[in-house]
Amino acid sequence: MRKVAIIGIGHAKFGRRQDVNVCEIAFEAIKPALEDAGVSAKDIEYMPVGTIGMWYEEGLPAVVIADYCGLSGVGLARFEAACASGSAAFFSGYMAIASGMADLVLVVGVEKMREVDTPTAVELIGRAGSYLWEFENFGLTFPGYYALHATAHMAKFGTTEEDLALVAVKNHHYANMNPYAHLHEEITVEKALASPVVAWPLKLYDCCTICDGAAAVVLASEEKVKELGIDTPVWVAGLGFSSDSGNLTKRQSYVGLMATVWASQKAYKMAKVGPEDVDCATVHDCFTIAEIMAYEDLGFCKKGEGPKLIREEQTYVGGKIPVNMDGGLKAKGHPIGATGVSMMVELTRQLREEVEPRERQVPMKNYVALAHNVGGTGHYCYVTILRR
Amino acid sequence: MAYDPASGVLRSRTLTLSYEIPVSKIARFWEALAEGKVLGTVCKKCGRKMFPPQAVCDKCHSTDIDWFEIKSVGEVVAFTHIVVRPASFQDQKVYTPAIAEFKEEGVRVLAWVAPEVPKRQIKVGMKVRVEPRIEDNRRTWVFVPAE
Repeated sequence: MRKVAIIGIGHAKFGRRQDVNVCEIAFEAIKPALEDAGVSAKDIEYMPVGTIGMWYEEGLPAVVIADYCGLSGVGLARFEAACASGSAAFFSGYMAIASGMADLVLVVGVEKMREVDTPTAVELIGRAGSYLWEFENFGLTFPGYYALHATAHMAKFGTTEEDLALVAVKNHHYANMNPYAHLHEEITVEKALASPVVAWPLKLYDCCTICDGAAAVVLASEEKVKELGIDTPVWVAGLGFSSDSGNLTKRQSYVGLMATVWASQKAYKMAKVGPEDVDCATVHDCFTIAEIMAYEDLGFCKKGEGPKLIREEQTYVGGKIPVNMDGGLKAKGHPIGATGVSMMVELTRQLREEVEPRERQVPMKNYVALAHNVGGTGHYCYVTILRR
Repeated sequence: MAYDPASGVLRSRTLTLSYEIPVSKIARFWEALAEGKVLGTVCKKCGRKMFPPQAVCDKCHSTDIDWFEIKSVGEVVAFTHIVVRPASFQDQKVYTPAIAEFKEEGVRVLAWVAPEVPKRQIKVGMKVRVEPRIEDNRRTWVFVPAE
């Protein structure tokens, strides 16, 4: 296996983007990623695209995006791993280079979720699970799936609605400093607790936004890094993938996601690091309870101690393990297919120590960062460890 | 071309989707609901119990499958009240999906807690039974309090 580095990053503004279609928003990420890497479209050999689709008009998004951006002729595929689609595309790009099949790959994550109305978007995401047994009769929604975990976590560990709100307060705080984030709004615990219930105990401020967005990274082989004279390559040190049952009734417990545990164990092993070596992480906080479970399942703390970590502000910059300095899915936004790639963009910035404003920059000790991307409710999971 | 210059968007053609889902291999499950029973499947070869029911064993891939009834008292292990509802559930009031564990049968089941159960009564640890309901020709199953 060959070494693979991230050498270029690009990120579109997340939010309700009625001004652009799927190709146009992808361009906003692709152009800066190519420029950052110092390469042009004709140098790219393969372009995996992470996207779910359904909520926008195009049936072959990878094809029309490549065409729009002058990339027709490259190897193309669309990747679906629910909310981890971006990481699935990233993994494919990684493999293309690690295996020796390609030297330069452009990974794109994109979603346009706001071309349909909210109840339709809620329905399309809600069907992501085991349709006949969870949706047909029972109308489970995506917040609903995580709310089931929240009630189980609260019953077992005494986790409170205030603990959940603390995660939202942190992620809104950092999103407010991130120009690419959907929401620029500081909130308080009181405001979060007073917001309308979406799926009890989750309220509006416990939920990520349904939004539009795109992110892109250029991956290169070690030879290409040398040839291009890249000064700060960010290396893919470890990658782990896993999954769990489609039907929630087949899970052993609802206080964590085993797919996260399994995927992270593989990634730690490959990177030869442990959770204590990670300088900062982007974790899959589609809902506040998801971030608390991620702390525990990734080994940043023991099972059941996630609430303590946020109460003590250990996941802020300066804490034991800073998490989601870009505002997370919660407040940066969660354009599903874009999310996994957006995590790589943020961690690359962190590892290059070029984050602006500086309050968002995590002090690096080991130059190791971790991206945790979940599809569905632990239906898929990818954990990627980057190192400068 | 439904172009709206004010919002800068063009409204696409409409597509209505509804699927014909094949259920013939587990027809017994849907028939039993009308007889007042909720069934799971059990593998005759390895003893694996399955809910939702399926016609093959997910563990040993045997196709020699039998049925069993879920009739004991289970315990709610997780639940939620869905307030923001999907497009096709807009006509419903707030509903409460829950997962209950039936230790005696060795399976967990997902269903709504019956709508007549007061929301305040619903909590993790609540004892329930599962029973079929047929409403508007739709065959479903719900949890009702066991005591």
